[in-house]
Amino acid sequence: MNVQEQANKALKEVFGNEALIEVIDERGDGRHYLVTVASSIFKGKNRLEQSRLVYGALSDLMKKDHMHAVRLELKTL
Amino acid sequence: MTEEFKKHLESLINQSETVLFMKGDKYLAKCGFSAQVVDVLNHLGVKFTTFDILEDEEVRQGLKEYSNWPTFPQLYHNGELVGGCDIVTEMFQSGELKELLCNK
Repeated sequence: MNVQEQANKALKEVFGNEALIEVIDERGDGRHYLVTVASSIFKGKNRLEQSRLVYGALSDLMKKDHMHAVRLELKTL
Repeated sequence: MTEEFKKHLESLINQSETVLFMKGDKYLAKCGFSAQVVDVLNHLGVKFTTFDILEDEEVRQGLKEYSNWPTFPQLYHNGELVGGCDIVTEMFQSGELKELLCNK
């Protein structure tokens, strides 16, 4: 599995199948990713809490620097 | 994390009303995301201090744990984490950042 597939899988485990999840290697360098998540789990949470959920799901990939920079676009369903 | 080190982090976070933990400093940012937050703060005319996390690995790792936030830059206001580049940019665009940082 490449990094995008691993990230997708990790996010699905946290947000479930109904969430809309997209992981884009936005500079094509395998380091800078745009992660879009639309989920009902975000409801009632502030931006910090929402982001922490996503970072939590991606923590292994981020710690190993497989994902060096992650830009988040989060939407509440 | 020792109590002593935690106190050290808290003193850094509270060194001024608005503190940016970043890569480089406000005159020479060493990362595009840090530069973007500096630009936003300058644009709003906010007085802020910075801490260069590239110069202190212990603070860099410690702050990630202390604030449960894995990336830099990190912007703090009145000792509270506001967010990183995404949140700061989004709040700037919506006008919330100006309200938070410029209202006394």
